[in-house]
Amino acid sequence: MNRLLASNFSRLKKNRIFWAACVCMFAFGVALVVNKYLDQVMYHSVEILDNVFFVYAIAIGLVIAVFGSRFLGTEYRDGTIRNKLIVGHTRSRIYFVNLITNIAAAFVLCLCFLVPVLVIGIPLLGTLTVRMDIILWMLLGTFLLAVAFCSIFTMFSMVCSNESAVVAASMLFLFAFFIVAVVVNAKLEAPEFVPYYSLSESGGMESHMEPNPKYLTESERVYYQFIYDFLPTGQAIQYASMSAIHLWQMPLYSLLVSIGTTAAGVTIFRHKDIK
Amino acid sequence: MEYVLKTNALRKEYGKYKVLNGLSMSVPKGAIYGFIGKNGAGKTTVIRLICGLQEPTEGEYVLYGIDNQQKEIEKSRRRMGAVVETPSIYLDMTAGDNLKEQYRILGLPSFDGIDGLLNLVGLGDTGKKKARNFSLGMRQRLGIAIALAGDPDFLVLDEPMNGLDPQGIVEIRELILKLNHEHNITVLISSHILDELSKLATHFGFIDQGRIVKEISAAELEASCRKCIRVTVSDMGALCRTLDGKGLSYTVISDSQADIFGSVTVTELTLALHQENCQISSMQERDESLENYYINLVGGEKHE
Repeated sequence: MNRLLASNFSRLKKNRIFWAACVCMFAFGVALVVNKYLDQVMYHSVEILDNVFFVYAIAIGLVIAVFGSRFLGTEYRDGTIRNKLIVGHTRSRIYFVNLITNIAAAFVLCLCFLVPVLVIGIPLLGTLTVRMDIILWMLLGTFLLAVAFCSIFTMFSMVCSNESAVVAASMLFLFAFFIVAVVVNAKLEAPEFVPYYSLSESGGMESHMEPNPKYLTESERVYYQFIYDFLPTGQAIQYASMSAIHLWQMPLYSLLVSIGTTAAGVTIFRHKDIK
Repeated sequence: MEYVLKTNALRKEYGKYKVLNGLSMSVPKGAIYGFIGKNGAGKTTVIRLICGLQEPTEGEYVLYGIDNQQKEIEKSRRRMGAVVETPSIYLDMTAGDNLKEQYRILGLPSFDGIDGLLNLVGLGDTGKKKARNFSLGMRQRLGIAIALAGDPDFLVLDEPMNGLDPQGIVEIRELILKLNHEHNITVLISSHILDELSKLATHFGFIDQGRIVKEISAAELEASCRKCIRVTVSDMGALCRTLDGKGLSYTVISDSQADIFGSVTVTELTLALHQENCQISSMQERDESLENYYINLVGGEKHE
C-alpha cells in the first residue's frame, strides 16, 4: 500500500489541477474575508468571522468533484491503472489508496481556505464568537463531510472508466443534490402561519394570519430534517451558514455515507472488467 | 519442458457474447511465443485475463506454477511485465518521470536503473520532452520500458507493432530479440504482422473463434512449410505429363501456372519441356509463408 501511496502523492505534487484548486480555495478565502470587511467599513454592518469560517463546506464538494474525477480519471484515460494491476497490486488496495489520496488532497484544500481566513480574518473581523467546543465539532463535521464527498466521487471515478463522463456525472450529482437540499431547507423553514389578505366591507385591505398548508407536520418535519442532515449537500449548507442543529449526528451520517459508497465502490471495482 | 504460462479451457463471456471458448495454450520458458489470430479472435482478451485486468468466466491459467485461483498469483504477476493494446503511460510526464512512477509502484529502492532502461529502449535522449509529444513508436518503447521496470522474466506484448513505421517495426523487433537473447526474457507477442512474427517467434499459437487451433514451434513450422517452384508455361498439358513422368508432385494454379514440390533439376525440366514444345515464361522459388500456413489453418477467406 505504501508503494501505491508514494506513487499517488508524487503524482499529486505535480498535478496542475490540484495546485490550481489550492490557489482557488486560498483566493476564495481571502475574497470572502475582504468582502465582509468592506461591507463592515462601507455599510457599517456587523460582520463576524463566523459568517465566513465554514463556507468552504460548500466549495469543497465542488472542488473535489472536479479534481478527484480528473486525477483518478487519468489512470483510466492513460491506461496506467493497468500497470498497477499487472505487477500484482490488489484492486481493493488500489481503490483505498486512491480514496486516501483524494481525502488528503481535500484536507489540504480545506487548509488552503482556512489559513488565509484565520490569518486575514482575525485582524479584520475579529475572532470567532461561537464556543470553542462547537467550533471543534463543526471542524470535525466538515472534515468528515469532505471525506464523504471524496468517497462518493472516488466511487464514481473507480467504477466508470470514462473520465469525461465521471466529471459530468459528479457535477450533475452535486448540483442535483444541492437543489434537493435547498428544497428540503425551504420546506423546513416554511412559516407556521402566513398572512391572509382580504377586502374589507369599506373597500380597504385587511390582513390576518392563517395556518400555512405547506407547514410540515411533526412526523414530516422529522423525516425532512433527517434528509437535510443526511445529505452531504444539506450538511454543507448547514455548516456554511452556521445553522447546523444536530452537530453530533451529521458526522455520523457522513461516516455512513463514506462507508456505504466505499463498500459499494470496492465491490463493483473488484469485479470490473478493465480494458 | 518448463512452461511460464499454461491456460486450461479458458472461457470468457461478455453478456451473451462468447469471446474465449475453452482456450488452452502453453508458453515455454525462454520462448518468443507468437500469438496469431484475426481481429476479434480473442488474443487481447487472453492477455487481459493473464494480466489480471479481467477474470475468466470459466477455466484457469497457471503462471509460473501458480493457479489463478490462488492468492499467490499476485506474487507471480510481479515476474511479468506487459503492454496491453496501447502503452500505459502518463502523457503529461517525461519518459524518466513515467519510469520513476513505475519504480515507486514496484517499491524499488532507488532510481538507478532508469537511465539504463531508457537507453535500452532507445529513449535515453528524450530529456524533458513530455510523453504527449512522443511519436507512436517512442510511446510503444516507453511502454515496454515500463513493463521492463520490475526486471520481469516474462514480457507480454499486445500488438506492439501496430501503427509503427517500418523503422519503428525494425527497432521493436530488434529490442524484443535483444531482450530474449541477452536478458533471457520469455516473450508472448500478439501481432497481425505475420511476416514480422515469422522473423521473431520461436513458437506460434494460432487462435480462432476463441480457441487455439494449433500450437507449433518455429522449427516444426519450417519443416511443415514445403518449398516449391512456381512455373509459368505455354502448355499446361505438357507440363503435367512431364512432371508425372518424373514422379514430382505439383499443384496446378491456372492454365499456365503450377507449383512444383520437391527437388527439381531445372536444366532437366527445361530440356524435357522443350522436347514437348512447351515454353517456360518464368520460374520462381517460393516458400510457403506463415501467412499461407495461417490461412490454410483457419480456413482462409471464410474467416476474413
